[in-house]
Amino acid sequence: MARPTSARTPAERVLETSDASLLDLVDNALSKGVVLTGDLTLALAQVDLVYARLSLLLCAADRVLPQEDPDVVVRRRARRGARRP
Amino acid sequence: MSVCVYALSAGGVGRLALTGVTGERLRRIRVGAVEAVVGDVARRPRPTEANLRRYDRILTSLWARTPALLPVRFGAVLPDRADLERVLEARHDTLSQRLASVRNRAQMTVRILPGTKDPRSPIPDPRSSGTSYLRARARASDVPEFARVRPALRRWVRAERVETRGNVATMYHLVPRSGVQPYRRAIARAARQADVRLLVSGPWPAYAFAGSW
Amino acid sequence: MAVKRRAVRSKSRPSKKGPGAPARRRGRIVAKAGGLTVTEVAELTELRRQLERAAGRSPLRWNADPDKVRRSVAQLVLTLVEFIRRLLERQAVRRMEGGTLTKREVEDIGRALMQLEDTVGEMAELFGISPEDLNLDLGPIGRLI
Repeated sequence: MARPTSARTPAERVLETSDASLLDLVDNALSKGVVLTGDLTLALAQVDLVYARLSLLLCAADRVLPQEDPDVVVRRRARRGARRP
Repeated sequence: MSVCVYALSAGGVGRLALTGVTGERLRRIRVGAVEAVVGDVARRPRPTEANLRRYDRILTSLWARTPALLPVRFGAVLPDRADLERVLEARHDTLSQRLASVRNRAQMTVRILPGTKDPRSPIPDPRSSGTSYLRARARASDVPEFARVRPALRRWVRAERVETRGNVATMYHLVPRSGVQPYRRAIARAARQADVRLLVSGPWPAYAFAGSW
Repeated sequence: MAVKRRAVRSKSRPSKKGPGAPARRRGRIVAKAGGLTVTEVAELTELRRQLERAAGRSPLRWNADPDKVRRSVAQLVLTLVEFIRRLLERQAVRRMEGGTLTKREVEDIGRALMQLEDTVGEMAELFGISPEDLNLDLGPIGRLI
């Protein structure tokens, strides 16, 4: 599906360079990484009553949510006794 | 002034002659085996393109100096040092484990616009048994194009995350730093053979593997 | 252990892999040639906008209005249950694919998840809550799914 370079407009080419890599920057920085903070507001009838710091909830979540080793491969190999870098 | 956190490391970042997103000097706050790289800011930095590029450069610099680095989400601002220390203390063991699991490893990001029909025949009557239901659920979250290139990459993949948002599916792979070039060659070859169009970028610090879940 | 400094940091920029893509050179920003189509760029740009919007959303807020308290409570409860259900499903799939479940366990867990999904659906219907409503943005935790 590749079109020859000459058939694409300058606008299209510019989009490819900056836009695609900007996606990675946004994805990495804004939706990934360690989450240290967050806030939750509980309200009744539009009146904010309870304001909770999610950092505390995240600490609890560490203990509650599965801390599974995502290295499925490593697990399998560990069963076979191999070490990985 | 509030504390803006950029990354967590297991130490070894060396002298921090770096400035943060708002031009502030960066310094380190250590709790046990976890060291946070922080800067003092007046308010939470805004996610403008310029700031995101600065952030990326900062993380890249840090990552070049130390084998174990966990990026922190952009804009993580805590009221003061004591608060950060409390958080790091409470989550110390988890964070320490996370650092160990990304040590000497890089993230490769693979994206695709899923379009191909799943060549596998659909699971007949998924609700007929618990097993077929679970298999159907497994397949629902699988991206066939990724499944086609995955076997060629197994040798270098230490962990994987797959996310689908809208029309774009993204696969994140945690790969040993030494395996980045072989991985690139392998995925290029596999994509050609499977006739699949992929967008590959990296190596990045392990952004997608920093969360506990 | 001394940390080796990487003298050359070869960070590759996005490049297309597919038939006809030219060989890339290490360490260079690869612009295009045989690159993305306009549709693809549009989709990726849309993804980026979605991510920016999600990040920009104001902090989590749950609000119950007096005449709709029952529904609000039901929505909150069911959203949390749905969150847990997805988490369980994800773990079950992981373990099944990782080969750490027996056949019997796969069958039992599958059946339990099926019933859990049905129950959530029935209760949501009882309160007039649609499947989309169960997608309360759970903020930083939400993107787990």
